[in-house]
Amino acid sequence: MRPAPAGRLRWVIGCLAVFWLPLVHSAEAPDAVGVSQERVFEYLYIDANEDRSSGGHTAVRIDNDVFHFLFKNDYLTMARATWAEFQLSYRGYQNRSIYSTRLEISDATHDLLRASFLQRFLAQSRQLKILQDTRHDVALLQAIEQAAPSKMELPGLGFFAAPTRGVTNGRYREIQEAIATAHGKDHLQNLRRELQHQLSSMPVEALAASRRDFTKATLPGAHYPFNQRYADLVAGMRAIDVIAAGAALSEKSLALSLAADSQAPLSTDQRRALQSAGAGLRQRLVALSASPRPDWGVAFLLGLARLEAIRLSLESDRWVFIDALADDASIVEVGDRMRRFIPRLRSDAEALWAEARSSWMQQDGWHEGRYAAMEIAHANWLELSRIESGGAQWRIHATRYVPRGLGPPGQLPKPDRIAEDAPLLLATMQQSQQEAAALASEQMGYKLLTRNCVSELFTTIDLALARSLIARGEPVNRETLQQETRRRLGYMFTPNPIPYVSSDQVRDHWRVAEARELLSLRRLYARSAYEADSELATLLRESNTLTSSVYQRNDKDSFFIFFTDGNAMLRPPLGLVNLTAALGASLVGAVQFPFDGGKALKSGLRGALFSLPELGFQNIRKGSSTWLAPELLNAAVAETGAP
Amino acid sequence: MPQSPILFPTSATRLLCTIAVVGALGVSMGCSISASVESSFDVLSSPFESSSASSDGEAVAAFQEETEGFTATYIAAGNTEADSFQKGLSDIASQRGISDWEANPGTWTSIGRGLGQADISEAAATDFAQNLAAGDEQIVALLMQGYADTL
Repeated sequence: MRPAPAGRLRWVIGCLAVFWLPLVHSAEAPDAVGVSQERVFEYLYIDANEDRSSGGHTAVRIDNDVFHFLFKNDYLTMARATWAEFQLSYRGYQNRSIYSTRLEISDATHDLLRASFLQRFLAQSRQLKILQDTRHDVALLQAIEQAAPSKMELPGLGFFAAPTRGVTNGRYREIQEAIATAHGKDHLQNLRRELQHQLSSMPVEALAASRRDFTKATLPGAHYPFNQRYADLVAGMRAIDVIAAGAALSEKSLALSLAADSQAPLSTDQRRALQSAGAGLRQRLVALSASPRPDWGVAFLLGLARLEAIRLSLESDRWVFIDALADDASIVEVGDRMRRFIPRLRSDAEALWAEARSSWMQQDGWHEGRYAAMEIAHANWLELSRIESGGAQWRIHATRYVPRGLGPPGQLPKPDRIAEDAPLLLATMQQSQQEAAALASEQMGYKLLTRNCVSELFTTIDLALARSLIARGEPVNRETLQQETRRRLGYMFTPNPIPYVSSDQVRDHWRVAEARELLSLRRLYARSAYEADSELATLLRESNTLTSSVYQRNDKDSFFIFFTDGNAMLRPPLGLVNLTAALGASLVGAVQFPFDGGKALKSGLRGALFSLPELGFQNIRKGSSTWLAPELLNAAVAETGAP
Repeated sequence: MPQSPILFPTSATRLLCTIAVVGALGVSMGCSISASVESSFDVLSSPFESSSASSDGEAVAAFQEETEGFTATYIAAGNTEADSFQKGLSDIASQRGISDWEANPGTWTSIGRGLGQADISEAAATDFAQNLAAGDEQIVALLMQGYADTL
C-alpha cells in the first residue's frame, strides 16, 4: 500500500531503530553460517562523499550478504561482501551513513531474490574470467611461439626453486612413499608421462565467447581455455619434478619470513599442533596426487609449499610461512601522513596474528582455512613491521586469496598444434580477444543513466520476477511483471538513476517493514561521546578536523575544517568557514605549486567546491579515514550490545 | 530519510546543489567508483578482516552456496564436461581463499544440492556423480546425499 507523503515522514522517523553491528568478530559461534541467521532483504542507500559518487551509492542486503555494483576497470562489476565488511568500508573508512529500507516480503520472495543476485554474481565472475582468459591465451601463445619463457609466469611454479631432473636429495621421501603406498610405486612416473603426452597433443583453439556468454540472466558456457589447460599441465609436471628432485622453497616464498627479526620459539603445544597439521596435510597431498581435477598440480604445489613451511617451522623452532603477499598484492605507497598510523596498525596486526594462532590451535589436524588465516595474519604483521622500519610500499590483499606462487616455467614446451599452425591460431585468438572485449563493453559497460549501480540492482530484481513467471508457465510482459511486482513487493516504478532518489522511490512504492539510518562511525562516536558527558567541549572537539579525536587528515580528502554531515541548520555558517579556509589553502597551495606539483592547490580548490553545497544547507563531503581509531569501533560495538 | 521538511521541501534543492558540484568537477553522480579511490579503502579494511576465524566460516558458507548455485546453472544449461565444471569450482573456491575444495565434505553435498536444484532425474544425477567422483564411492554418497536433500 502506498502511504501518503506526510504519513511516510512520521512513520520513517518513528521507525528508526538501534543498529546491531557485528563488526569484524562475531560474539556468536565463529563457524556459524553467516553472522546473522535472520532473513532480511534491505535496499541500502549509502550517503554521498566527495569524488566517490556525489549522488551516493546503492546496494541490497540479503541476510548477511551485500550485493552492489561498482565501476571497476572500465566495467560495471558486481561485488559481494558480508554485511560487516560492507559497513566497515562505508560507515567506517569512508565515513558515510547508510539509509536502510527493509522490505516486507515472503520467504518465497526472499529466496527468489537471493537466488537471482547470487546467480548474477556468479555469472559475472565467469564473464570477467572469460575476458581475462582471452588476453592470457594470446600472451601465452606468443610466449611459446617466441620461445620466451621469461615473459610468462605460471601459477604454482614460483613456490619452489627450479628442480633439476635426474637429481634427487630425498627431501620429500616421506610423501613419495605415502603416494607410492596409496597409488602404486610408479604412479607419479606414469602420471608425468601422461601429462607430457597430454601437453603435446592438447587442443589449441581460441576461446569463442558468444553474446550469450555475456548476458545477465545466464551463466556463460563451459570453457576450459588454452592458457588454463596448458598451465595446469605444466603445474602437474612441475609438482612431480619438485617431489622427485627434492627442490627447496624458493627465495620468493621465504623472503618475508627470512627477513623477520627473531620471534619467540614455538611452544610445546604449538609444535604438537604443527606436527598434527603436517600429518593431515600430507594425507591431503596423497589424495591430490590422484585427483581427477585438472588443476590438481597447482593445489598440490601450494600444499607442498605449506608442508615444507611447517617442516621448517619445526626445524627452526619459530613460525615460518610462505609469503602470502608475494603475488597480486595491491601496493599502497606509505607517505608521511600515513606513516603516523603504522605503529598502531602494526600493533593491531600483531593482535590479529595472535588471535589467528589461537583459533588454529583449537582444531586438531589440517584445516586449510585456519592455516591460511594464520599465514596471511603473519604476513600482514611482518609486512607492517617492515614498513615501520622504513619500508615505503605496503603490500595488501583486499580479499581472501589463495597464494598463486607465480613463477617462470624455465622452458615452454610447444604443443604439436602450435608447431603446425601458430600464425593462424594467434590471429583467431586475437580476434576472440577483441570480440570478447566488445561484448563485455556492450553488456557490462557503465552508462550514467541506463546502466549504473541503481539500474542493475533493479534489473536483477526484475530477472527474479521474470523467472518466477516462467516457472509458473506465464508469459513475461510489462503487465505480468507489474502484477508480479505488486504481488511480491509493491507498486512497480521506473527507478531513478540517482541513488538517493531511488531509495525514496523504494520507500514510497514498496511494502516497507522498517526504515532506519545507520550513522557513519564518526558520527556514531561523536553522538555517544556527547551523550556520555553532555559537555559542550566534547561537541566542539568532534565538530572539526583539527581537534577531532577520531579523524586524521589524509591525502584523499579535500581541505575542510568543519564536518557538516550532521545538523543541517549549521551548514551555511560552517560551510562559509570551510569555503574561506579552503580558498586560503588554495592561495597557499598556489605558492607551493612549484614544490608539490599542485597537490595543496588541488586540495584547496576541491575543498572550496565541496563547501558550496553547504551554503545551501546541503552536504556531500564527509571526510574519510585511512585508519579506524579504536574509539570508533568501540562505539559501534557498544551500539550492538556485544562485549 | 530523516531530514527537516522545512529545509528540504523537495529533493530538487539537493539535486541542484549536487549538479552544481558535479558539473564543476565532472565526477559521477551515479555510483561508486572503484578503480582508484574506493579500492584503497577496501584494501585497508580487508586485510585484517580476512584473517578472522568468523570470516573463515563465512567464506566456507559462501563458497558452498556459490557451489550449489554454480552447479544448478551449469547443469541446467546442458553442460556435462567435468574438466570445465571442476575449473569453475576452483575459480569460485580461490575467490573464497580455498585451494583444496575437494577436502571438505560440504563441497560435495553442495554440488549434490545443485544437481537437485537443476531438476534432473536421479539417474542423470547418479551419472554425473559417478563421473565427477572418478570411482570414489564416498564422494558419490556425499553427492547423492546432497541431491536427496532437495527432494
